Amino acid sequence: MPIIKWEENFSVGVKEIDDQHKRIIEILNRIYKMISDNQIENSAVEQILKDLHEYADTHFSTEEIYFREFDYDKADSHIEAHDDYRRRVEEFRVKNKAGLAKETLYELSDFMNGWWVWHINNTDKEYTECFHRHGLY
Amino acid sequence: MRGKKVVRDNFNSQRIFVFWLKIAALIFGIVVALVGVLALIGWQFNITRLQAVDIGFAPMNPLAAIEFILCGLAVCAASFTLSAVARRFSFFLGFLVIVLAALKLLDIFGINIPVDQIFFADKLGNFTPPSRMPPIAAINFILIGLAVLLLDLKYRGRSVTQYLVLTVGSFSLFMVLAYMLGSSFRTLAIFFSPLALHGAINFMLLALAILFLRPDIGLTALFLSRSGGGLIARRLVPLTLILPILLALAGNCLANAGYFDFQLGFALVLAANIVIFEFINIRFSLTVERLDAEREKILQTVSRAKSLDDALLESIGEGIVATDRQGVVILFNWEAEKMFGIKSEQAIGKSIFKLWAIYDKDGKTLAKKDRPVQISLITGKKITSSVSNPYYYAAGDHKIPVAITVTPVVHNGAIAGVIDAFRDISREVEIDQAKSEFVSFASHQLRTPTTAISWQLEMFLEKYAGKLDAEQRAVIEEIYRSNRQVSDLITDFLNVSKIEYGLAPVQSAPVSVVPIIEEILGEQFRAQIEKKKIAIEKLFARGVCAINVDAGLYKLIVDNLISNAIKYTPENGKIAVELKNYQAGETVGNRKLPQSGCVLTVADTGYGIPGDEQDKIFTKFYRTDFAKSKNIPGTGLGLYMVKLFVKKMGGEIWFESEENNGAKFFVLF
Repeated sequence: MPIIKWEENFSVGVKEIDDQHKRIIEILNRIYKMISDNQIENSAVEQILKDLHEYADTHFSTEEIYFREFDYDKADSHIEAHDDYRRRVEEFRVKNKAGLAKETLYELSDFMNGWWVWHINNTDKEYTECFHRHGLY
Repeated sequence: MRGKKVVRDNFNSQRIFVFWLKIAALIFGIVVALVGVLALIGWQFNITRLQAVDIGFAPMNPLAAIEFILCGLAVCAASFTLSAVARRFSFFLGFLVIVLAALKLLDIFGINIPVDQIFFADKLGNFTPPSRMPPIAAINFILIGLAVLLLDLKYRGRSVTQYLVLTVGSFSLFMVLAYMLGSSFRTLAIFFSPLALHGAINFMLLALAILFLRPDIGLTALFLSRSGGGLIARRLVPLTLILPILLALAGNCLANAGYFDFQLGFALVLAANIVIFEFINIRFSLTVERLDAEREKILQTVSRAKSLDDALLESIGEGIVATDRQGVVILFNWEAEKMFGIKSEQAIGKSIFKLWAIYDKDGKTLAKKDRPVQISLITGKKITSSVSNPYYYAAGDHKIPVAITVTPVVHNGAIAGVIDAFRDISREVEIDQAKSEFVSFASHQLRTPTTAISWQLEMFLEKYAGKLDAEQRAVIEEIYRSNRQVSDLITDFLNVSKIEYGLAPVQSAPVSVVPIIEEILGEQFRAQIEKKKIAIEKLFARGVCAINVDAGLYKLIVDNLISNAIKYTPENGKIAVELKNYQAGETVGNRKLPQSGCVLTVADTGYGIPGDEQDKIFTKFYRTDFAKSKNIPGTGLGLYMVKLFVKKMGGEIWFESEENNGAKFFVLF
């Protein structure tokens, strides 16, 4: 059973993006499952970091394309938040490569959920009005 | 240094001696050949002194004269040891000498080939009896020829040629003495027909020359050696050679002068000889007895030392196996016997590589070239393994984890073998595994619920954002913060345990530390720094590039020091982070640096550390009264961990602080 699930009030009002957020939450649940099963190996942690990096990139690109298309006024600060995320993921990958799978995963769990939940409910929700204005639901 | 120099000087002087002996051999060869030439001149111009030295003496047959010229040249050629051509030339001459002498010798067997009557045939009859080459001369020439051919042949480590030329010398000595004692050579045996006097002397010179040609082997080497044997030889040989001759000459003179008859003179000489030889014999025996007694004493000392060594080896709780440089076992102690179930008698003489297999910690069998003994035999390096990285020895199916120390035995600069000392560390490996499992289990058991609580609270706070009143929200946030503190504690505990128990290796490498500090100040703590409006001062001296540390651990050190500085500095305070190289002896903080290195300083304008707490802040789980009273979050592991990591990487950490006047932490690497 997943530890966290996507809630209706997390919706940013755009179906395509909500669906992507649901995928992200699935990946986060995999992190928790690894901790609770105590199945922590470098290769598995590397895989989850790869997914967090690649899927987040797809998702960020989707958002950033709309920012440019709709000339979103808070695009810069939003993209900066995305870049911060990319840097953190890269740091975790370096740490995991040094053989510290368990420490990496624990720190990852301290960071990831909080970051996404806050990002979705605060930063992302700010563009709902702009996207709706341009007819994107 | 002194000892080495003396040895080299001796070696040099010996080499010079060898050189001069070879020169002497060359000169003797020339003299022998010249005597042959002079004899031939004597035959040509009928000069009796050149043919026979004195009237009534036996003349040197012209064939013998030619043979002496050949022998002389052969010895000269052989003295040029480095030239292959000269060596081949001496072979050829030696061979020729043998053939000519052998043809002459055949007449003993009734085959008469008159090779000694070819030259100056018409003049040979001028002497009575007519000049012929005597059989003893032919035999001597064959022996000298053989000696030239077999100059380097050894049998059971002894030089063959030296015994051949000693025979020649003995025959010739006999003839020279006969001349000295005035023998008329009246004999019925053809074997004793006389050599010419200068011929006999020539043979003695040839014998000496051949002994001198190889001064580094056999009898000559013994004569020159610094050993007791050499000393005895040097003292006895001249004595036993000269004394009998002098006695014989004296007896002969007295008999000739008519003091007594010849038989009485002979008896006197014989008696004197016996007395002298017995005296020498007794001296020699006493010397040998004394040497024997000394040897016995040394043997006893050695045997006592060996008993002590044996007892020592047996009482050591480690398996000890010594091998020679091929890896063949020469010593196998009791502990090794016990561990492998092999008796020492079975193991000794066998290759160590066949007695047992070695596995690495992943269970892979090591090939011979990767085995510590082989590596040590080839490189001459000492090889050790640790509890955390053991080898496994197995004589059968049962694998035993061992900590090993393989030490090469170096003798005279060459690797003579190795000593493989090993200890069964099954128990340590078990404990190590238990520790590792405990850390893993504890962190898992604690981490799963804290993560679940943390995540669900994060979801809860966002889901009901706006629906919670301030009081509700404060309670939830307090639960959340406390839970995060438990998570931090587990992470710190995991980090500390790994280093304390040696579960993770410290991998030091040159690390560029400025980016690490920049990142911590930037990304990690930016929000907290901005929230408390703390000013950050960065002082990174030029030239601080890389220091030798484990990057992960250094990051945790900086992370903890800066996190503490932020926690204990009130709003609008200042934190200065400095990185600078210092020389040994310079004073930083209140300390004189024991070594040169890079010092990281983290200084804050915070509450400081009260004097009575200053000696406790690096203690495990210690929290200052101030932190407890102000409810500043912390696990009590931070500074303990920092000090542990600094020590582990060979660095130093210290601080200076006054209450309410900030704190400065210094870390030297």
